[in-house]
Amino acid sequence: MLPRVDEVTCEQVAREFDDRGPGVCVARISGEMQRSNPEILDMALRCARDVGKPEEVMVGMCMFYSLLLTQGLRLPKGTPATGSGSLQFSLPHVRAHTRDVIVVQIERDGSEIFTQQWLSSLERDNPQLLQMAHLFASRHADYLGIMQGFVLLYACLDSEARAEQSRLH
Amino acid sequence: MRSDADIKREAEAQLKRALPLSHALIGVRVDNGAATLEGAVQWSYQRVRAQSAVARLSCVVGVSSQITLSPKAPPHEIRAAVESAFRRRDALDSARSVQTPYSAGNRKDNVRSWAQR
Repeated sequence: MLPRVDEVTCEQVAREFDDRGPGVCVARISGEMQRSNPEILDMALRCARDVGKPEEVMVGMCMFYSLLLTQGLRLPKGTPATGSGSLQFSLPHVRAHTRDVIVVQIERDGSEIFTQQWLSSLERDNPQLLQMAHLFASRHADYLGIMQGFVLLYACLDSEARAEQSRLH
Repeated sequence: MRSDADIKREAEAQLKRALPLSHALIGVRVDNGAATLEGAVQWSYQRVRAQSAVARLSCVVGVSSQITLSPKAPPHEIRAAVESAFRRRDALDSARSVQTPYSAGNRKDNVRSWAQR
């Protein structure tokens, strides 16, 4: 399962972006995505390009990813989060297959139902992450486009985490 | 003596340096050299840092902060915001398809195309 982001992590990540500057943070987190989650980076970049103001939108996409990653690193040792301990924590590596499964879901259900379903999942399992997504998207003209981008990243990471868990058992 | 407009510009630049991510949430008014900060931020450190950053400017005679902490959006509000954004997009797409019936553009498919490799 993905880590449940809490308020302490939200403030920690916001501070990091304000201390180092969004450009430095986006470069660092994009690099991390490139190494460990290139499929996620590709989806984030496509979303950012399509909704306009790609540099600004990538700040939100990188914050979203960083919240999950930072929360995972803050978990006490022994807490099950995708089967990793605190220092070895990494987000699930989203595979091309998982991305294909998500495409099939969107084709089957339509983008509105897909979005609503995953919003419910965020609301239930990761309410702080949903707050961050909503606040960030509210400051941009294409609110829906950005929310759909966040939902897509979450859907892929969560589906991959569940697939990893079922492979382990 | 510097004009209020000049001081406002300098205060905004100072805010951007102090809060490169969240400076856009804060507005500045300057009246006879006294600055008033307004807006809503998410975290207390942003409010504190904004006030001390502007107070450091020698051209500012005083700083008053009216920055508030933004309340959390209740989940039903987020759901309603997304639903109404979908309805606005539907209306926009319908209007576009009436104006240009052979247009290939359909923004509803964006999320699917981002998911495709």
